Amino acid sequence: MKAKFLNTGFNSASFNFACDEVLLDYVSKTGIPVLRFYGFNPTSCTIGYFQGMKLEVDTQKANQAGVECVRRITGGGAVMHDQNQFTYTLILPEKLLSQNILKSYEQICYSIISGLKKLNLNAEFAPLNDIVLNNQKISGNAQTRKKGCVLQHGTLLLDVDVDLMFSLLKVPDEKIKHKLIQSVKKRVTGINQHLETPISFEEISKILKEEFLKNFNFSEFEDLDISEFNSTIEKLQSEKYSSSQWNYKY
Amino acid sequence: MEFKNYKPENGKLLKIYVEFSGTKIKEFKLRGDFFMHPETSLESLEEFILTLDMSKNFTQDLEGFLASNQIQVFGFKPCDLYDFLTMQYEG
Repeated sequence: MKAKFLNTGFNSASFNFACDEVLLDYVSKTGIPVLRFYGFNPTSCTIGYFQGMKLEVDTQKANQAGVECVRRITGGGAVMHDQNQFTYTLILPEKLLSQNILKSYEQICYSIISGLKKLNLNAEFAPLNDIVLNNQKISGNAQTRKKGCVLQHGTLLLDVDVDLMFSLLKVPDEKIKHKLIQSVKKRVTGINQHLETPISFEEISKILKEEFLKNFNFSEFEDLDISEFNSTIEKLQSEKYSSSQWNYKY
Repeated sequence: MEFKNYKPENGKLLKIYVEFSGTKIKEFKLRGDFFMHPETSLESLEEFILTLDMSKNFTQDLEGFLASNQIQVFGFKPCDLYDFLTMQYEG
């Protein structure tokens, strides 16, 4: 089975999530799997579907810093996305994956893990939705199932700036903020810290594209031209992912 | 509206707003980094919880609601909500 591939480069969070949703429709209509690689610019804070923006993000500080705050269509936690991350979205007809949601997370994350093995990094899947390296989190993933499709997106940390993360994301208890930051620094890492030569977005993209192709038994990736979706993405970006009604729903 | 944090063992961080009227729940809002499939089930779950009574089969009724509506939740269990609500009710 052929699949489609696109690398949309670095864009805003509202663009990225509008793009995901438009591609979900594409897969639902055509039955052709789509893999997309991308990054975030400007720096953004995204929250899970069930989170309240003001409960999770210091929105005043984010606005002052030009950080876009957007709610995802997937559950999970608040994430700060900067330019030191690699992000993917894989969209497949539901029948191509395990019906068991827990297993399907692992199926998809396996391509990240096998790609990292090529860099001699022994990463492991950490249920429900994380990938860890030496017990430190390097990747968070989130999935939704809609219109007969599974959409999973996830972030792989190349480098991580925990101080910036905690200046934007709210912590449950301000009194232990410093202690919490120290604890998170121990629990989260970027893969470049574990490599002799730092890897770029382009280099990791090349490795992971091959792994997704192999692990999902796709015969080949055909490039998908994003320009045919531009007007639909723009509309969704402006009407949904840039709107307070969506982003501040909870 | 003040949300209280609650992290069940091996679960996700929940943020809950609750108001009681006797043993009944008058207001209930559930937020957090959990997963629920389908996602649009949250409102119906919140509404269903308002029909429950803390003194009667809360956990079993909630389990039944999730099963009959084919709602899958990852990050907390019905008994976790019961434990949290009991603490709030008694506290």
